[in-house]
Amino acid sequence: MITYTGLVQLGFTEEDFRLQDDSNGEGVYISEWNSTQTQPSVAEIESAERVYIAEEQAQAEAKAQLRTSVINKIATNLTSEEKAWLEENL
Amino acid sequence: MTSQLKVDRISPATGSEIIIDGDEKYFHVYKKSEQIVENNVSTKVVLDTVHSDPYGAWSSSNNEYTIPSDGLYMVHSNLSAHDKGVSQGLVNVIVDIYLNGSLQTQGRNSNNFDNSTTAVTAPVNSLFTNILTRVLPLSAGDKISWYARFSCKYPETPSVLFVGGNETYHNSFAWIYKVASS
Repeated sequence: MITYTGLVQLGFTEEDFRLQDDSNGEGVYISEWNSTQTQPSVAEIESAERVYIAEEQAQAEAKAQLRTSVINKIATNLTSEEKAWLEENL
Repeated sequence: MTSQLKVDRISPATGSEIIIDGDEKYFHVYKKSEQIVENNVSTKVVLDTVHSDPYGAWSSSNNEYTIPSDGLYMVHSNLSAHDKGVSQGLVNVIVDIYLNGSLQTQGRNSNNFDNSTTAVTAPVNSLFTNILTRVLPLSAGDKISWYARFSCKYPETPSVLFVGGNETYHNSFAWIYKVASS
């Protein structure tokens, strides 16, 4: 499937292309291509989209681990109730 | 004392004469079902329920209205978009009126939330209602349709959706009314 994030992951900007879906069951297609570079294939866009999703997930996991680490360090002098409040509000 | 002025033609000192024969028959279509739209994809709006179509000019398969006669028309849409309750950072809602398959005019809503927000802290449950009204000179056989594009800072797949409605509450709808022959 052609996606905006897949094309951005390949290094293209919003000005380089326009995506369209005519709601006729045919799905998303590139209705305008303004870049001087060759238009990538659907397979290349899908591959880039998978890389984007993997990077987003890795970033989210890293942030979650950092959050847990911070809470555990702060919580050494807190009661379980106070730690629960911190987890809920941080 | 009351006074009434009845005219059916206005002739300006210069320019074209306007014939006032506004049509009391109006076209009105709305959305019952919701429609998922991918991030940054200009998507044809599916308006699935006809409220009034006296000329039978709406194509439900193509989601477009065929103008029945030459004239000056008021073309209006009121389209509501929602982020599905996920913090996607909904930034822009852009609605296009298409005439005969090409962009004719555009309306845009922007959400200027703090750029320092993250995927976690971006506004959630964002609801945008884009209202777009244009007066257009149109010819018999012209085809009108609506496209919309959403931009999210932290898009989910699938992304945002148009909000549907019911018989009473039309959250997303459009109407076309003939103002005058020109």
